[in-house]
Formats: sequence, structure tokens, C-alpha cells
Amino acid sequence: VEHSVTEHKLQRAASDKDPLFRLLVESVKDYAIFLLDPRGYIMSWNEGAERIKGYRPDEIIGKHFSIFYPARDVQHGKPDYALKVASDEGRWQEEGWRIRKDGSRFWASVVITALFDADHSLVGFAKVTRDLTEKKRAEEERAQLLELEHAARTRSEMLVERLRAMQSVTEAALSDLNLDDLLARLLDRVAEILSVDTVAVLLLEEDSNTLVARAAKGIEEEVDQGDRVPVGEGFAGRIAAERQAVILDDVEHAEVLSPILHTQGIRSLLGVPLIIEKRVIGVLHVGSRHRRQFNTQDTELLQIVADRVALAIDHAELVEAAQSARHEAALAEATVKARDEFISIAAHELKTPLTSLQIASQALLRRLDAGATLEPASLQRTLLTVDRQVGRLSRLITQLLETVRFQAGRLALEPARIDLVPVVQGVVDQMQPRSERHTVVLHAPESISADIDALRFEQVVTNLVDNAIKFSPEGGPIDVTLQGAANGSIRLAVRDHGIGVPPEHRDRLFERFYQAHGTDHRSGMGLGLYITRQIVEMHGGTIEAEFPPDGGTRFVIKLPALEASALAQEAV
Amino acid sequence: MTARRRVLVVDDDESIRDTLQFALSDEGYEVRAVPEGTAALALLREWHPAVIMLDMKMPGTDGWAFTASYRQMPEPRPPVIVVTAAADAATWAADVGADDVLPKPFDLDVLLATVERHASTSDTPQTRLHKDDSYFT
Repeated sequence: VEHSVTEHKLQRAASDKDPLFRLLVESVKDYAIFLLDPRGYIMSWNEGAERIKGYRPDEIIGKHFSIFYPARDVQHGKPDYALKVASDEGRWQEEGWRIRKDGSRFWASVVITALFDADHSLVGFAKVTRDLTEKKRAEEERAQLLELEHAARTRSEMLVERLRAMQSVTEAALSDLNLDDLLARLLDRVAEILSVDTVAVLLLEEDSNTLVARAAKGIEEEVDQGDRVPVGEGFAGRIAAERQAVILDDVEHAEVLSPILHTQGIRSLLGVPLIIEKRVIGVLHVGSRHRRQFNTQDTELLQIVADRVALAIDHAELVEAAQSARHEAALAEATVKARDEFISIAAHELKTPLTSLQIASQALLRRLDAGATLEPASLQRTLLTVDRQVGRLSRLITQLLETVRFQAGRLALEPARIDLVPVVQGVVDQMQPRSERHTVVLHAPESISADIDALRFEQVVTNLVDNAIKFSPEGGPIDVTLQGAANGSIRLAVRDHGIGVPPEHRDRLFERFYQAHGTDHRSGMGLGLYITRQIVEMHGGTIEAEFPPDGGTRFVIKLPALEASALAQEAV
Repeated sequence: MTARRRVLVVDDDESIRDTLQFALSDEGYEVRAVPEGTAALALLREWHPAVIMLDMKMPGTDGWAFTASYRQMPEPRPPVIVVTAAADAATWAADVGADDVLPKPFDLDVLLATVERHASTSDTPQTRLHKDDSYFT
């Protein structure tokens, strides 16, 4: 009864109180405006409601408003909840799906306002509904467009990023680095672009048809150990054999030869061939520690990178070949230059005694032709000069030949047990007459027995005394000291008081053709000390130059005690 | 003997000094020989040769250093014949403004002809002095 009272009040309010207002509500077309009784039954219906929801007034008045809700919402008690909120708070507002008479859905904006009488008791609800389906669709389309745009932007950014990465690969590939630096740089880029844990380049060794690890990142041991994979076997070998990309989603269940990949915990692998002019030159592979499914895009990207890496390797190999050719040419040029210098020095050295010989002999002939008498003393002196020059020429030629033999490694020792003292004494006696300004003195015990090539040892002593004379032009004593130790080793020292050797020349003193005084003295061919060192070293000994503070030079030779048989063995 | 027949040999090689002395003495030259430039410059202060035979590469004062000092001495100066075994003998001779060059080795005939040519035209205080001397002998 109470209910019918309020209903009545409401109807009166809606219909009688203001006819003009009622007309307004009824004719609004864009809004469904209608009244609900306090329980939610529809009490009025306007033109907008009919247009939006499809019901005529006679069909819908008296029905419960939950008819507009999707079944799911009704199950959840949404209509009752809306009325409760509206009566408690005065107002309920939402947007949501509603159902038309024909069953189609529309997106509705709904406002439910509770209506109270003067006594503050609920008399019903005013419900205003707007069809926002178009708006909703527009919004959804916009959101979709936005999403598409966002996706497109992300994709293009990624593409730009990859292009940039590729550009850096190309730049690295074209830079003029040596192959090692180049590969290191390229592998860094590859790891960055594909976000992988390992990258490796294996190059094909054509003779053995084997891939050899050449550069790696994350699995450097592969290169250090020089890992080799036969073409056709294992992961890398398969790529080279099939000339196409190979993907291993899970290494554990695949044939992978490299134990390093296993110990490094690599789970997934992707590899592509390195191809130059249709020729496989190697393999580039990347690995991931977490299980990863490399996709077509990854493969395509890696292949693009691999093409550039292959170009880079080809380029670097060409550059390296050119460099090594240049280096070899420079070396050959230096060798030729050294030989030319040697020949020029040799010619210079040979020409001087030759001049003396020529003039002395021609002068003698001239005297004889003139019928002049030759004083025996003058004749003797001239012939002595001739004799000395012949000896000098002979020594020079011997030095030249020995140098050639040393270079060819064709000089054998003929060691025998000998007494060294008379050998050294013989050299001293022979050298003394060559200079009036020098006093050559031997300091030695009675005898020293050793296993040595006597002729070579004599040559060593001769060279050192000859040097001592040459490099002390002011004359003075030349001390030759020979000592033998109890263990059979030998020390020979030759000391002069001459001009010494400037510090900057000391390092290279024993080099072939090296002339410490080459620019300002006629010091020979730069062969004496070279030959001396060769002989000493063949005996297993050492030679050193010492420069005493009071001037001059002291050459010290140390020879170990060796059995003749052992030396002979060594010489072979 | 006149000063026209004085020859100074500057060479560090003893055999060259000996043989040039021997060969030129036979032709009536008075020969003095020293092993390097400083000794030669000292000798030139008191002994005036008609010709100087100069080696280039020598320990001590070499041919280049010698000619540099020699050019500072008052004129007239005796001609210099560069005597060297070096391949670029002619270049070196030109470098130091030598009057002639004898590349080693050379024939005795060439040596004698060269020395004779320069000695006969040499114009030094000493040769003039000896020319004057000849008036009185």
C-alpha cells in the first residue's frame, strides 16, 4: 500500500505538475529519460528511450530495468547495487554495456538519481541514459591507432637501431685495422646487436677442410686452444657444409663438438656461413646462456652481419697480404742494400793493398827497364811490401769467404786436444812486426791443454789483436792474457789502450758488416768481430767487450770445458 | 833537386805511404809521408811541397777536415790530388775542391804523369824561391 502511494506521488509529479516540462522530457531524442519506482520497475518512457533501446512505451513500462543489463551483470546483482548506491548516496553513474530490444549491445552512459518526497522518503529514480557506442568506437579506434602507431614507432626505432648497429659493423669492417683488432671489434658489435653471450668466428683452412677458431667473445678459450672442427661435423661444421644458417634451440639435445660451449653453459646457438664470392670462408655463430629461440629476424640480421664480416676478413687479408709483401720487399731491399754496402766496403778494402802491389811491382819493373841497379836493401823493402800486401789481400779474401760460409751455415769445427799457449804465442809473434808503435805481450802459464779447433782459435786471437792494433792508432801496449781454470774452462782477454768504442755503437759491435768507426776510420769490412763471435759460439763460448775506465777496449772470451768428441758432434 | 820535386803524401795506410815514396823517389821526387791531416798541416808550416797527395778516409784529421784547414792557409798553395779507393772518388774530390783525383788502384804511369803535370805548374812560395835559386846555380 505504501508503495502504491509513493508511486502515485511520483506519477503525479511526472505527469501533472508541469505539462510543459513533461513535454520537454518526452520529446528529448538523444537521451533516454525515464522513471523507475523504488524497486526498479519502469514507470515512464520517452522518445529518446524508445530510439536508443528499441522498446515502445507499452512494451516496457512495468518491466524491471535490469532487462537492459547483460545477463552477466544481472547475475552479479549489478542493477540492484546501482539502485542501492543511488538511494544511499543520491546518485549512481557509470559507463557500461547495455542490451537493446533486438539483443544488440550499446555502450551507455548512465546516471540514476534517487527521488525523494518532502518527507525524505524514496519515491523512485530518474534514469538518464546516453548511447555512447559511437564515441566508444571512436575512442577504441583511436586507441587502436595509437597502439599501432606506437608499435610502428617501436619497430622503426628498432630498425634504425639495427641499421645503426649494421652501420657500425660496416664501418668497423672497412677500417684499416689488422685482422685481429678488426674481428675483436666486429664481435663486440655482433654481441651488442643480438644481445648474445658468445660470438665466435671460425675460418676455413682449405687444405684440411677444417674450421679453425680465429676470434671469439665470451668463449676466448676456443681461439687460445686453436679449436678445430672438420667441415660437416658438429654445429659449426654443419653450417659450413650446408652453406646455410643453423639454429640450435637447445644445445643439450644436439650434436655440438666444442666442449667449451658446454662448459660455458651455452643453451641456444645460431650460426651462419661466411661467404665471399659464393665461397664459404668460415662460420660466424652466436650463443645464449639462457634458452632462447632465435627467429628468422635474428638469422637474417646475423647473415647480414656475417656478409660484412666476410668482406672485412677478405679486405683485411688483402691488406695483410699487401703489408707482408711490402715488408718482404723492404727486407729484400735491405738485404740487397747491405750486400751492396758489403761489396762496396770489400772493394774499397781490396783496392788499397792492390794499389800498393801495383805501384811497387811496376816501380821495380821500371827500374829494371831503365837498366838501373837495384840496391839490395831497397829491393828487399819493396818486396817485403809486396809480400805483406799479398798476405793482406789473402786475409781479406779469406774473411769474405768465411762470412759467406757462416751465412750459408757451412763451417765445421775440427777440434783436437792441443796446447793453447804456443798457438797464442805464435799469433803474438806474427802480429808484433805489423806495428812498431805497439808492444804485444802475452801473459800465460806454461801450457793450457784444451779441446779446440786450433786454426779457428788462432783466427780468433789474430782478429782480436788485429783490432787492438787498428783501434789504438797512438800505439802502446796490447796485453793478451790466457788463463785456464781447474774445471777446464778457458778465458782469453785482449786489452788495448786505444780509442775504445762509443757507447752508442757497443750493442751492435758483433753484427755482420757493423763498423763502429765506419764513418771516420778505415776500420775494415766489419767482419772480424762477426767471424770471431761465430767461432766462439760454435765452441759453446761467449765473447764480451769491456771498456775499462782508463780507456781502450778489452775483449774477453770464455770457452767452457768440452770434450773434443762432443764438439765434433755439435759441429755436425 | 828543386822544390818542384817535393811531394807530400797523406795516407793512413803504411803500404801506400811506402810504395808511393819508393816509386816517386825513383823519379827524383823528395817525398814526405804522414798518416793523417794534423801531421800534414804541421809539416806544411815548415816544408813546402809542390804537390799534396791526399787520402780521404783517415783516422784523426781526415781528408775533409784537412782541406778545410788547408784553405785557410795563405796563397799560393800547392795543388791537392785526392787519392782514394772509394767508389765516389770524383765526388769527394769535387767536394773538397781538389785539383785532381787518382782513384785506387792506378798505374805507375798514371801516377807519375799526374804528379809531374801538377808539380810543373805548381806555384808556391817555395817553388818560386827555388826558381830564384836556380839563377844562382
